[in-house]
Amino acid sequence: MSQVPPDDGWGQWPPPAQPERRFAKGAVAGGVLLGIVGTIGLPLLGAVVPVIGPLLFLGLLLGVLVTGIVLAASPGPPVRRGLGLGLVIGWGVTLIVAAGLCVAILSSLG
Amino acid sequence: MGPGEVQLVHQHASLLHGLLVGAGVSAALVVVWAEARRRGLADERLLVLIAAGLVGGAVGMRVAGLVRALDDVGGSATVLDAWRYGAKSVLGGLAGAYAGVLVGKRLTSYAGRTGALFAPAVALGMAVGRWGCFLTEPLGRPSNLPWAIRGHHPSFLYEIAFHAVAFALLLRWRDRFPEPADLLVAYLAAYAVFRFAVEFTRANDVLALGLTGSQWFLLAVAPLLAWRVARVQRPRAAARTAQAAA
Repeated sequence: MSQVPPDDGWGQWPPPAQPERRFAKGAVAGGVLLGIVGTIGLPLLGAVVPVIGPLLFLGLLLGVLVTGIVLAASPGPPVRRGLGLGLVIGWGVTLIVAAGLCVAILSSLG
Repeated sequence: MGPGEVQLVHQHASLLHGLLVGAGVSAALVVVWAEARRRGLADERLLVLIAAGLVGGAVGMRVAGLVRALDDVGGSATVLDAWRYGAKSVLGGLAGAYAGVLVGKRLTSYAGRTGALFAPAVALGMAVGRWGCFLTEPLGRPSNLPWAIRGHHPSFLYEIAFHAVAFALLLRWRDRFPEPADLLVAYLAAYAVFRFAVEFTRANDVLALGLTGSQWFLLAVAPLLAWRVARVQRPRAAARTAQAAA
């Protein structure tokens, strides 16, 4: 015979298990901003440095994406994973938006 | 820009283009999330799918430029130049985004279909973002039609009208499809047909046999699109047959 406790008005106890959060929302938002700033700023830094400019450009540009993927896939806390996911989103948004924009900036630099 | 081509805005053209494309991407992201909430699908994994779609789209947009640079063996263009300055193809971006979302689903073990979320979002994003192209890129081929602008086809306005109408229809029909995810298949198939036709008014270079690179790309993916449309039609046809038999 199953024993059903009387309803005491406090709802189910223990509460039903919530799915584990993998990404912290605030960290995702912060990562998006950081990703946008990094994707625009770091390659610009690479573009103004002579000699290793092009290599730095490519390395830093892809570095933001790789860092984001590594953090997002890491077994660390949700804040770290959220930051990584935000970096990836920021990288993608920037490259799509900058389809016309970055051409003008880089041309004016070099 | 080639001889005879007309561009409406020259000053700060790249900035204007970037701002309008940014507005299009933002509008698309808002629609994806709103539609996901409406359908009760707004879980964390959707963020991963969005990220994968954006990365796939960003890379796909530049594939055309990379191919052109690798083709230019004798020239001075490098892969890096192509990444910086190469042609940014919307068709390549769409294909890359589609592939990116598929990869994202595999990575997150997301079993659901997401076409119903992305179809209206992409349509609205394109309708907004294409204003950047209309204002800052060459208008189109010469034309004597009454609606021609400075003697040229406003080819991007044709596209803006298509995507705006598609967005309205997708919103109207979003709950009428037996399988809502097929909205994306219907939208992409319609856009492929429209884009093939509108390319005849665009100022793009002809690649071979009077067709542009975009048209050859569309011809290459046509069998895949036809197969996806056939898969959408099959259950509907079977349902009609069963209804008639009953």
